[in-house]
Amino acid sequence: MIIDFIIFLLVLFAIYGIAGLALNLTLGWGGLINLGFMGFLSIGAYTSAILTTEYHLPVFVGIIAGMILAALISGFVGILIRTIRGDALAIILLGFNFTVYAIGLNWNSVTRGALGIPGIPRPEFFYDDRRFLFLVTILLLLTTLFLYRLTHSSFGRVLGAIRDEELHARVLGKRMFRVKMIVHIVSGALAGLAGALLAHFIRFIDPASFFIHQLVFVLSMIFVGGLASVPGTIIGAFILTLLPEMIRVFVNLPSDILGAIRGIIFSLLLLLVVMFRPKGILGTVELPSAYADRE
Amino acid sequence: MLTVNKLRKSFGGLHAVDDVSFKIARGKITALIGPNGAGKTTLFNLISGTMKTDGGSIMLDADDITALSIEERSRRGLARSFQLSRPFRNLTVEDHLLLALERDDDLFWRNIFFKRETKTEKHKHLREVLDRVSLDAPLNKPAADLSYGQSKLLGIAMAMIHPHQLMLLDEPVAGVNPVVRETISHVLRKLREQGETVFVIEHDMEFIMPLADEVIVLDHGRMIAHGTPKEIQQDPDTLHAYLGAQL
Repeated sequence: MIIDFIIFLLVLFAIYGIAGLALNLTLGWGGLINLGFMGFLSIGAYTSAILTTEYHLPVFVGIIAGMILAALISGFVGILIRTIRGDALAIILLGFNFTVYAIGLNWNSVTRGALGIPGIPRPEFFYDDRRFLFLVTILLLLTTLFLYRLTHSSFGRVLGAIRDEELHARVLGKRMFRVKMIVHIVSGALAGLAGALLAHFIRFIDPASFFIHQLVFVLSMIFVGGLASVPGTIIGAFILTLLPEMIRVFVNLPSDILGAIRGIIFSLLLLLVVMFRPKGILGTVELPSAYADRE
Repeated sequence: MLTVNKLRKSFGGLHAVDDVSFKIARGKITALIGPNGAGKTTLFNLISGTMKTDGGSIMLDADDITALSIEERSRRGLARSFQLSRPFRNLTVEDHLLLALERDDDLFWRNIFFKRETKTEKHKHLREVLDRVSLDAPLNKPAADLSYGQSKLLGIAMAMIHPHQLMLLDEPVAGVNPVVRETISHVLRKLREQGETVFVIEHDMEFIMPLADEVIVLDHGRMIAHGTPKEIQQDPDTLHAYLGAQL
């Protein structure tokens, strides 16, 4: 049924919308090139999946535990920002992604390694796709409102100042380390939420579900929609979630090349944005290369 | 107000600040002069905390601030403008002034969930500050779109509005046109009348000598003179090192 397929896509859009907002908080508003993002998504997904399948805890307990663990580890990784900056930090965070992937692949007794975790339950009341769509839509709305409030508050202004000119912000008395830590923790919690929701929706996860190519997908959403923009992120998530599926449905391509086509579409979109609209569709700041030049 | 005692900073074999000691009195304008490379901006960086000292101490009133972070020194009452004006490229004029004005805007829960901004009152206050430095720019203008001179004026306005005991101004008239130069001169005179304590680096002798109450002269990282403008203009070491016969 086409309507079921549309509902499936809309759920994915809502979940990736939350993920996009989480990444945009660190990248767009915070100016922190968070290449470890998929690691936090993975931690949220695995924590909730393990707690609900192995220990049979309620799904909402699993999701909240996933958020808390992802937030704590994100905060711990955020401690690095006190001493490490720029390219070195980006590479360390990228390494964090691979570390989480390797743990998922090799800690067989907990994660079941490459076999992945099947049969991840959904919340009782939100068992079917339509009800699950209702749940994720509410969560996306709450996340959107929270991010809007955060970025339009004086705290958001301080965050923008630290992103643009860290030293000057500190000379104005803004406690840079504290602000960056908070942003890391909040972004980690939201990434954990998105990861856990994905696990309970698809009902199966394996390490490949959160490999580095998925980071390109979420990054593309942000760059296309716009850095440091709440509506831009939502639009980016909508376009990037639906576009490849539309092509799959309306252009009859063999299934074995669909993945490659998806990658080509994302790359093309990114190139077009960088060339013709560096701020993205609704972005308010320029791409991070502008910051890298000044470090 | 500010007591600097035996302050030292070296970069390899270069002594950028070498055993410098002085006091800055409350309610006065003190100028810091010296040839290029004398160590003036390094001294400012040490006082504001953007560089760590190799030795010596810095006291703000009775408090030793030598080991404090940049943020903490700012919160104790040091306001600073930069030699190269550095606006936050994606923020507006209003954002800049509010960042300088507000003290606890970096607190998460309070600002996101419990604070209501009263924009009208604040806008009135911000406009007054802009008027005091004769900066005729809309509050919602992106700071990146300001001219160089306007950026300098915004930097001074930010230092003025920042809750402070002492203002550090780094070459406020460097590179600005005569109109802005005159405006800044007027602003400094007003600040002195109001009893503000200002420590200012300046190369432009014609500009700073009539304004300053005291002058400190640095050369090769060492303090070679400290006195009134009249005394400095007659000091043989200063004349030899920097001022020449023009004064």
